[in-house]
Amino acid sequence: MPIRVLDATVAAQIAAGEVIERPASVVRELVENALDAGARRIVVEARGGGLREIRVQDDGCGIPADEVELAFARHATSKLSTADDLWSITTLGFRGEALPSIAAVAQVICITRVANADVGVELRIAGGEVQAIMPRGCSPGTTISVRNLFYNTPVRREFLRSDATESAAIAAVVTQYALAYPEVRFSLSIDGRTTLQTSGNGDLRAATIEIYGLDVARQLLAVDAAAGEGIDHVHVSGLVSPPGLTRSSRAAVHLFVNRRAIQPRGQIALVLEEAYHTLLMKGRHPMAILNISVHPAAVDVNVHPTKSEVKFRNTIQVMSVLGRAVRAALLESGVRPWEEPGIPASLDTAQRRFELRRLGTSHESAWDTPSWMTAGDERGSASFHVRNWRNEGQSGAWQREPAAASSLSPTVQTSKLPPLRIVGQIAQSYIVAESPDGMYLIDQHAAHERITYERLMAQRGAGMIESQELLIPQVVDLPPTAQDVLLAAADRLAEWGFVIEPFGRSLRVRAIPAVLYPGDLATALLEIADHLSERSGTTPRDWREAMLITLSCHTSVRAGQTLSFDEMRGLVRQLEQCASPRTCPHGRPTMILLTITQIERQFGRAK
Amino acid sequence: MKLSCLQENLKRGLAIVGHAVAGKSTLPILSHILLATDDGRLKLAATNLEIGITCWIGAKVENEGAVAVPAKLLSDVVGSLPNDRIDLTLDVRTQTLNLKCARFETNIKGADADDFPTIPAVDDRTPVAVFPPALLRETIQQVAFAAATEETRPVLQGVQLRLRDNRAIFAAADGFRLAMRIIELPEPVTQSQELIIPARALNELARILDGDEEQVEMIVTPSGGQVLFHTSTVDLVSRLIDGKFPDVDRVIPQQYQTRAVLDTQELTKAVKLASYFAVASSNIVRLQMEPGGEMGPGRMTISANAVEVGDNKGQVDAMIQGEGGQIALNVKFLSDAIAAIPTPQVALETQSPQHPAVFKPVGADGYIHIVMPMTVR
Repeated sequence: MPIRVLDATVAAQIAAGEVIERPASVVRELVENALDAGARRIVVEARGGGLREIRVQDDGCGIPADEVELAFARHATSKLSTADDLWSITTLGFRGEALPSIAAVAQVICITRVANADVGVELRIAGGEVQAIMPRGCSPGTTISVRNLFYNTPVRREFLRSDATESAAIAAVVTQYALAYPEVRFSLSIDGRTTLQTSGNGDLRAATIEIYGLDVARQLLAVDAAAGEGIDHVHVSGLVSPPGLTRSSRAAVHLFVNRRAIQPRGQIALVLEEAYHTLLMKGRHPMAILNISVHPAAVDVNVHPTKSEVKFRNTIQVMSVLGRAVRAALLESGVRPWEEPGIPASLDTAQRRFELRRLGTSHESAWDTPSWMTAGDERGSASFHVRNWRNEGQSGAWQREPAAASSLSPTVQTSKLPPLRIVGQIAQSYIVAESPDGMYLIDQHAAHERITYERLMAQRGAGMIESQELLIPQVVDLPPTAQDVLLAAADRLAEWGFVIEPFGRSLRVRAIPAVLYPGDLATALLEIADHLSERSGTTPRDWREAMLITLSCHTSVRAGQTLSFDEMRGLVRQLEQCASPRTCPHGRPTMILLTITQIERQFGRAK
Repeated sequence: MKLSCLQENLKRGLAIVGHAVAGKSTLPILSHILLATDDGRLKLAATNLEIGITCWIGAKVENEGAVAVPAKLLSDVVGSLPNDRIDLTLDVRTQTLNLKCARFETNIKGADADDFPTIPAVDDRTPVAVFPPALLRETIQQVAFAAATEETRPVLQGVQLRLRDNRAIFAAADGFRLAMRIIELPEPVTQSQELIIPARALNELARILDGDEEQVEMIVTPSGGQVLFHTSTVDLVSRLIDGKFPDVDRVIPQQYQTRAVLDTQELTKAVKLASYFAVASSNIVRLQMEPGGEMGPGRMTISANAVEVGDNKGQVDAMIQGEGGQIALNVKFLSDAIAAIPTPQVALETQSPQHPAVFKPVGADGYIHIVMPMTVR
């Protein structure tokens, strides 16, 4: 096959593919242009997931009539003139890629007027070809509408997800910029429904209220720290969540470098989460809206085609300022970091067996029924165990088995619990229990979660999820992205007992699963939305997981609830029935074991 | 302070105010009861800052004075003393209360009465409404339990009271049910009003009213922030809930497809039986109504089924108008609803499995209880 130079249209489409991946990229590029044009008000409208139409209207400086056509030429930009300028970029765009890339894969109408011109101009362009250019009356600023995106690249179109997913991505982009530019009034409407509206009064917390609600915004902690001079100057400012306020994905981590949104991944996200060390649970992420200002020459934004990653000249310094700033904000909020005492290097065997079992990898006969137990009924009630212990125990403690005897014992109970005798409850959160191996501390919430999870699983298996109609439908305010995700999944939510419908800018809930306690409705819905948007593919399996985990978490006994002795015994007995009693559905342990040997070592009785 | 009173009276007084004592509080003084002489009587007062109860008992006062005494200890001591005269003397220097009764002498260390929080005083004592005590108590017992207990929607933790002319409408709802009672007042009110009174306060009031009182006066502070229920011997002050109560009238169905009239006691028993199984499956019970034919009366089948536990089915005779049908309800709400029906017969009105179930007493007007159904998808 001979080598040929591609014709201009194909080349343009390939190049466009790098910049414009999905409708949200169009919104991103257009909003950036509007911001570079000094807009104070930006209106974004999207229809049909952004494929049918995206319209971005601003009141910025506009494009002079004689330059409009040029604006759509490749590598044409007003933001950069020499290669050296690349090292002092202060605008969001600079490559002159955005407009031509969009124009290559869509039908674009650009209406613009500079403030001092009498009349504006309208340019129609499709597939990179100018169709028409004519004078037109309009207000100062630029309105760009992009219709039938990817109409000439059907393959790209094929690979897009559902309208709702694309709309959610658009909402996420606009949310990002609304947070980065609180002094600009943003409004977003999706399919004619206004989902976001910021006041543009310059107050970041006010913008956060619009997006995450008053309750969340109020709790966020202010971050503000600076270091270095001149080109080494680094300034970190914004808001972060206190340790108690977490999300199950990084969707609420908004990071900006010189107010340019970057992906919350890699080192920068790691540093942020490291600042929460020991304050966050595994699998939970903080919320953050942070802008890192550095000298334009100290950062290279030209790393990634969509500019969602950056390179710092002095990464170590930036990261240390970021880490310290967040840490300082957390400490000021009165949260003390918790230092874990060194774990003894040689854990004794029971402890290690316990840990192994939690991982589900062990086939040892560690939980062999002690010989004195095999005589009786293994599955007897807890009181039976206690009685048994009284008869068999010699001095008020579990009779300890010599290691050799237990390894000789023939029965293998893989992940079942040993018989537990309830001792009591501490901190209204943990149940203390005794077993032949030592002392168990059981997290009552995690344990109940596991029980509920398995019960729901069984119920779901039987095809029965009951739904309770609400007397007065409850209106729930959620972030627009979460609402879109939920509404898009309304049918499947109904199978789980949630009946929701749009209600202005909020959601209205008409029925809830019968197992759900109504108090936590907003939190539960938010968590489901989080789960759904995080798992990119919404396979039925993911769905089931998300729903079950959320429901079981929100219907379980909370920490801080005093339990009676019978309740504790009931809980432990139910836990014994569970298939995998050692972890909660989130993956946290339900119990920890302190072996007799460990205790003896602490008291200096054994070495 | 030096006075004497009868053990019987003091014991009763302490029981009345005892319920306003804060159980667990970070403020230790709230677990005390205030004892003070007041106009030839002994005043007992307790508050948990949400509600405050004041009670007066007859006493022979020799010296004026006041002291706050730990509530539980005082109640326990007085409860154990013989039914005889008690002489109370306060040693002001040590704030120690000395009780002498028959052959027992007790000293209890108290706290300065000035440390005790002031229970909001209501100056203008013109009652907004006057209720007959027995009727008020019955109404509270029929309505207040339906109020929400969780704190997410504070308005629903209260009972809405609407007053107009000589009618008072009490309504309470949580997310799933509504209880409403309309009563006639002996005297018309001067001014129509709408209040939201915490259900807890009303429950305490119902407990205090023992029927001896002549009437219960309700007084609202001019600011609208507090309500006072006043009888000859007891005052109960509570804050009012600020907010807008949902428009519950809209929820009440205007018609029905099926109306079943049942024997309240029989139904209670059948529901109780079903509840043992319902608790294991999200509290769901199914009610199936079949109209009677020429051969016999109609009947209602009550069933519950828990996969892991077992199932139960019971039948109750019923007079059924309409075509019959079925509905699934939360057994807790169902039994609460039946328990609130005072008449020997109860009527259940339904439209479809998705529409609310309406419970009414047969032969008595003014009470309606609505429960939202459960649906299995």
